[in-house]
Amino acid sequence: MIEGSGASIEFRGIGKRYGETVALADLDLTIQPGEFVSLLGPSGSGKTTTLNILAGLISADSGSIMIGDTDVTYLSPDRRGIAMVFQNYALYPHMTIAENLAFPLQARGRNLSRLAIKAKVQDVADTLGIGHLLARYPKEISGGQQQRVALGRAMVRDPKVFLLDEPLSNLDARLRLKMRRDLKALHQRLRSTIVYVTHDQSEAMSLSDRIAIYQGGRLQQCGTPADIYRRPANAFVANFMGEREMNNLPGTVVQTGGGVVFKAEGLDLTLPSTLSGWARFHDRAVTLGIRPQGVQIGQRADATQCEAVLRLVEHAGTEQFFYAQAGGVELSGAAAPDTPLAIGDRVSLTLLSRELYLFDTASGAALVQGGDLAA
Amino acid sequence: MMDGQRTPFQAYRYLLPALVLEAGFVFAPLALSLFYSVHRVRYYQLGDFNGVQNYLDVLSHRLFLNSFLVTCSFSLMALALTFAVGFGLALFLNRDTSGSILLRTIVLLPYVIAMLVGSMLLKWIFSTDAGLVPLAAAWFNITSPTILADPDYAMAAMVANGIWRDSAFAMVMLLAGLRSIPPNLILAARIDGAGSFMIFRRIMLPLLRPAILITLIRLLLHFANVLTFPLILTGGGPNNATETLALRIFRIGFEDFDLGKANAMAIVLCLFNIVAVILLLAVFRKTRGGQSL
Amino acid sequence: MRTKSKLRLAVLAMAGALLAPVAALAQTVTMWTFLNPASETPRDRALKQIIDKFETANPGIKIKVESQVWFTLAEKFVMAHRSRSAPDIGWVNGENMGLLVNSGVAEDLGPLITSKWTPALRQDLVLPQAYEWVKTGGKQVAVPIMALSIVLFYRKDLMREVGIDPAGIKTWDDLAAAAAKMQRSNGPNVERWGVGMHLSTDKTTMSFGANALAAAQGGKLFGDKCSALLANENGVRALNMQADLIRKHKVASQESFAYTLDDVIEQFIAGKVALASSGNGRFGNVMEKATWNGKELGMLPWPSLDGKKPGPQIMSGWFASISKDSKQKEAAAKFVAYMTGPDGMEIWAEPGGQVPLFKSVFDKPVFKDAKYDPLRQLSQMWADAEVWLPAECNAARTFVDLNTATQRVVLGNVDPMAALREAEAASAGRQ
Repeated sequence: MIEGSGASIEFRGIGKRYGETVALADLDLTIQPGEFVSLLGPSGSGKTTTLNILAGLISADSGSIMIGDTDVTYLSPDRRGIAMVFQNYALYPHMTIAENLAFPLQARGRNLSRLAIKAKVQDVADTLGIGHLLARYPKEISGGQQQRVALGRAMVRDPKVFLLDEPLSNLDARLRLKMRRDLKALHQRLRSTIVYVTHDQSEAMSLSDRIAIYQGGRLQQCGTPADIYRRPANAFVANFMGEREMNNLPGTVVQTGGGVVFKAEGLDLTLPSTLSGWARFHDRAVTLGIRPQGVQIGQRADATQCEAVLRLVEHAGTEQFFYAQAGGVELSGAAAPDTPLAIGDRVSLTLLSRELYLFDTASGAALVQGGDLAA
Repeated sequence: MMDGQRTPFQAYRYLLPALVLEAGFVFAPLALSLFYSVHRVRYYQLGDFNGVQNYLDVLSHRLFLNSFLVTCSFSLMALALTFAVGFGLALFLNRDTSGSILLRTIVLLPYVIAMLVGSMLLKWIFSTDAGLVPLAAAWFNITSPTILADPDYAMAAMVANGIWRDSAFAMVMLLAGLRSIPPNLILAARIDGAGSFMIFRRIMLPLLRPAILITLIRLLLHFANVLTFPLILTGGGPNNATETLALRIFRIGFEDFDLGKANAMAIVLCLFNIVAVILLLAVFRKTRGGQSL
Repeated sequence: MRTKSKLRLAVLAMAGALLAPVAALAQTVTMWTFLNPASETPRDRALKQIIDKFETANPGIKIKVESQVWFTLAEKFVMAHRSRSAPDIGWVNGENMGLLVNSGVAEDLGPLITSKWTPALRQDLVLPQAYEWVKTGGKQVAVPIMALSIVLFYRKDLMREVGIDPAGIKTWDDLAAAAAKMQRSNGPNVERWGVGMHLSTDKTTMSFGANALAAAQGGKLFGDKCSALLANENGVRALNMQADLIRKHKVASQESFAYTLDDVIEQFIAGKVALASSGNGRFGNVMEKATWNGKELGMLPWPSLDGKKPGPQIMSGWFASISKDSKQKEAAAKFVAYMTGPDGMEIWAEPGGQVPLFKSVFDKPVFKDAKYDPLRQLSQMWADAEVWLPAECNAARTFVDLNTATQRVVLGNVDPMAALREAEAASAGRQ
């Protein structure tokens, strides 16, 4: 049986620049033992830099890193008690699967007997269901199997921390879903700390205990998937999470005789009384955000309403997405799969209050999250 | 159907230019050489057919065995040392610091100047009366040997000429091999806890096998057949200590004017090359890890 | 403007039309030589004068010179016959005469040139043997243009300095003693060697030992059918003499085994050796380039083992031959006869700086000047000791065999007689 218990990780003020470019700015992040944390963000956002600094492949300009109780800032990669799975797996092409798995065990200073190594390799291979592939070479097995071997090679040393660098991105869509499930199961069994780099928000959502989301070398927010989804710290996080981009409506909040109104380009949205607290944002430029799931066809009491003309409809199996013109803005929304929708139809749209977000246009900071005022 | 019939023809059509070149520059000279080797050809005049007489004369000559051994020992020493130096340089220069780029250029210099010029330069450097080596030796208060007049030193000088000129070639080939190793593999091995030596032995060396084999074969063929080094640097001497098979061929052909025997010897050298490459491949196959090469 | 250029064109066209028949009438004789008439060395200038004078006297014949590299000239000339691209006239050096004689590509110049000579002209030859030398089976395959020999250079200043009279050097022992006196050392490092020798097995020519051996054998190195005469008592003495200069007297560097003739003469010019042998053709060149006072350059008759007679002047030189494929042998022969006749020889002497091969040329008053003394001395040395090794024998390679034997004796501790037997066998295997 594979035994494992994770170590905590702590980044303290880590910074890294390349010339004028800031790759990572003043990162403070603490990861609990046994936690599965995804580093999420577009390319160049700093997530891979974080991983490489943690692995010891590059050194930070400032700050320090703790793994468990050890300051590893200046330790070489092999002395950090970590294992890493590379995006392209980095399997040694001239070694059999067994030799690949045995390689970390043969490293200097481990002093394991031939028999012990063999047993360990077999154990890991069986755990991952690749025991029958041990005599093959990497190029003779499938991508998914290679992926398992790469994982196995990381597991074989019982590391306190696993670093996974976009490990699923080279697999096709269905295999990726299966591997996600397997990874999650594996984590639940091993309980090691896993740091997982990805640019795929759904991967991060489905796998992680917590997600650290990056942009432009800065950590934007770190929290549970639900937290990040429901309570995005800013417009970037809100837009990055979710299958589809939010509707973003720049505008202003105005207090009128009939209540509080959000004025977008050519569109006035009268807010229900439950949202009267928005009046406090009347003096600045704001952006109203709403995910397509929050834009529905039909009228509903105590919700924001508007009239629109359908411009485009996409059928996506379990639901339909549509784009509708309302005043000067285009709104995308979702409807049940069997709702009859025709392009050119005039429809009434409801914007669900719990799906409304409001951001400061200049800073992007969230003012309203899921209908509630931000703390 | 049409395609199926056309394909072989088209394949040959694409091969044709290469085949023509091969025929013109390899098979035709080889055939001509074979033809001459079984004839009496004195003073460039083609004489009678004389069977294997040229071969018997050449192989039974007092100096044949000498030149065969000289060729073997020169090739092996030059091969081993040139390869080692080239490999060392490649590993050292595999980093893109500004210094290494300058150094790479310096190392390449002997390879790009004409072989003849290079050997003449070295001859001058090694000569007792005007040379840099004896001058340097004098600085350190060493009475320098007469390098080119001593059989052992002359061989060493010739090997040095080989190393000096061809390490750059080995370096370029091996550097290309090193550059083709995915950097992730090295990083992965480092994280797996492998030290520099283990990474070199278990990761780099096996992945360099094709580059190493090609480098070794090219160097071996070059050293086994090189004429310029002995002809210019040592003149085959002293006491025939550096008279290689290639130099003997040259002398029999162009100083004794006996092209029949020279060609017989050239065929012998050609066979020697083939055997040497087969041996090298055999050695390589024995050490092969398991991946196909 | 326009009319003027038209006029010019018309004149040019007319001139061309007039000249064309003349050009068509003129026979063009092609000659391969290592000289270049467009260049400025003494011999290049001489060749240009000869051609100019000949063409003026024979307006129907044009001489077209194609310059070649000297050391492959003979080979190229012989090989060109296989591709039918040989020139009418080819120059061949004495060292490669075997190639010409054995290949049979040369026209017999007897009927074309030498049989037309008057008895008086025959009596006038400086080197009568030279003509006999290039006869094979009664055919005259070439005629000499200029003669050369390997001579011994010395420095008058150094001889004076150590108080030695060059005329007193009769034996090789005398020479070794003189060399030892002229040698200069600084601690273990020799700054100037007594003698420079070229004993490499590379392209080479007659060594001291070869000269001594030939002298002891009455000027012979070859017997019948080019069998080399090396492995005998004389050979052993000559070989030991040569080896002793290095191993016993230590007046020559062991590096001699790596030196060619050119290496040695460079060192002589640089003042690093006191005595050296070279082709006499380099006399002027050494004088000019010497790092010491060039006027002190002298030529020494070769010593011999017994001192009774000077050692042989082993002769060589440049010869002209006519291709048997030539379409215009008469015209070619006419030029060769001129170039190698008394008129041509005068020009070879001045400005060419060569010993004229007809005695009468040197009798002319213009050559009484002191600056022709070295040439006169040379011609005297030749008259005293002229030796032509058989042209059909590959003498150059036999010299190498002797050098190899010397190397084997000194470096390989081989018995001299055994080494000479190997050399003799190697020589025989080549013929």
